[in-house]
Amino acid sequence: MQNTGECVVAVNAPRGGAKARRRAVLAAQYVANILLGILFISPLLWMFVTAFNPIQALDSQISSITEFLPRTLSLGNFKAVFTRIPMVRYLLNTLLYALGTVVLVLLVNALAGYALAKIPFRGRGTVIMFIVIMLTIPFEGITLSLYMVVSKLQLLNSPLAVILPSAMSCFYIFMFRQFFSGIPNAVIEAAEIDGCKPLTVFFRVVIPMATPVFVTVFILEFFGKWSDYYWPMLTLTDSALWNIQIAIADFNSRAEHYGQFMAALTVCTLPIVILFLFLQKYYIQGIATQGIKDM
Amino acid sequence: MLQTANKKISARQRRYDLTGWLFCLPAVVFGAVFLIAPILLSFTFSFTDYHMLRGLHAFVGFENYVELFSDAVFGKAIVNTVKFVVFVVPLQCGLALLLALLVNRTAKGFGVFKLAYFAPVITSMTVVALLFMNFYDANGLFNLLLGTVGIDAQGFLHDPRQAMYSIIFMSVWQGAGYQMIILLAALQNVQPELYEAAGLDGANGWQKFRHVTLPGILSVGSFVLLITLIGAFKLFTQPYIMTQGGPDNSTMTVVLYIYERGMTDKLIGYGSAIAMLFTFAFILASAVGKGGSRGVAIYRRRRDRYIEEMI
Repeated sequence: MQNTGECVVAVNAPRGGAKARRRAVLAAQYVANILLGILFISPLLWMFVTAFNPIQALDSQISSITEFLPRTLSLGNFKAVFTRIPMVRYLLNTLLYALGTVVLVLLVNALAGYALAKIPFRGRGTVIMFIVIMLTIPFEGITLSLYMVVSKLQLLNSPLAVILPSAMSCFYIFMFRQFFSGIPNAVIEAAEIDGCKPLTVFFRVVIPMATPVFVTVFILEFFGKWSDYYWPMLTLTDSALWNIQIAIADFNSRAEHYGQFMAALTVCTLPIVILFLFLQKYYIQGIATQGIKDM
Repeated sequence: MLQTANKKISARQRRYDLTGWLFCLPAVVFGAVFLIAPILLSFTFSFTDYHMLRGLHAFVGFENYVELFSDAVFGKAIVNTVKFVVFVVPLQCGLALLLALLVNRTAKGFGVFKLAYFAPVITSMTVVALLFMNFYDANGLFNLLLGTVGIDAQGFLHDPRQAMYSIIFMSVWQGAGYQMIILLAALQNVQPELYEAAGLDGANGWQKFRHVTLPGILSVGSFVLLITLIGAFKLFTQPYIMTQGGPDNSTMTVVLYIYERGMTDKLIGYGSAIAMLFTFAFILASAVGKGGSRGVAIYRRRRDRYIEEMI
């Protein structure tokens, strides 16, 4: 429903001055938003701006706020970040882990979700019940033994260590099942009468209808994997395999000076912010799902 | 006649069984290896003396659990985790509600405000933690700012009394935009007619907020509280990067302690016992929370029916 624009925290004012009152409320809202907005964005803005500072100083050598801020803008810090550490490799690693996981997650969970929604096989109820129970297990509760499993499978220090354990997700199966349940049986039966095999039905008929849920899963998984730190840090000790988050955490102690570190943080943040700006609408649509996923 | 029909059905059923399980096969295999096995292993390891390098020597029964009861650091980790939850949940959700009320408009510029509040959510926790570590430094931005208004330099992350609050402050700032977006959607779903009716009855701004807005966002609000609560229980990245649990274990949390004992000290058995207790507490907390949310939903439905009858 469209918002009427009427503010709910309005100041009580005498009757008749309704228009003036509404304008005063709007003005107050603007002022409050501008102040809070600046407060909220300033840490990130600070990171971004000081990344362009050409002065080569550690923050322990800086004694006033104005010294942090660049007088002339220089790209030197960014250049240094890319030459001192293999930043491009870290970015590509991160991209590989994110995309690899997304593809596998979509395939594995969509297939299962479809079967649980549309194929009346025996044992279906048990599988669904099992999934609902597993939904309550937090990842943090099983990291140690998962680490041992991945280690025994000789997957440590391989991209598969971060991709394979995320492949099956009870939450995504559940989400796909909910979505596929809404597809009319007639559509699937029509395709079957035309002689399509189940897999053909799935790929040719069902998948094209599932774009919205695919987009949501893509966003959740891509943004999640981009920011992932705990699990990759455990399983990828070889620096050639690090993702961007591990790389900047490590760079913290190795940056030559203040601006250089801020440049590294900016390089880690900018790509995902730009992607967000492109996918904003879909991201916001699926945002409540993210919370349920982490439950 | 009946028999052939039966046979036909069962042939069809068998085909369903085959395709159904084939479709589920990848999920079943991945699930068995990377979810079921670790759950069972966690449970089993917690009763052993399993060491990552020395291996498993003996089942020790409840020894790990008994030891946990007298483990002072574990006690501290629980207290700290609860402290984080107790502060972050109301602060973050309250701030998020304030922000949602502030941006609940379609006027010019409000999209930019929303973006400003949401930007920290997109930024990874690693970046945020590293950035604030810098700000909280002895010579960092915050102490410089305090210096300009004549306040002595603070220890922040280096002060056992301030470290957890420093992490709480940062986490509230980082996450509030997320709850804001969800609450905003709820605010926009409150029927405008209700405000008009309240206005005709002579309600002032606060009364409208109290009797129209708050009940209108009640069920979404309880959902937001629940997911914030559950997320807060898992606190790890912030203390891991910023303090490693210090100083003096003042920012040690349960999940960080699982890591410390399990990965750093290589005591998989002992770490698994902590992990089992965490999992148990986590499931319990989310079940209670979900029960609470359901209660809110039931209350809301009853209230709506009551209002309908009144009209």
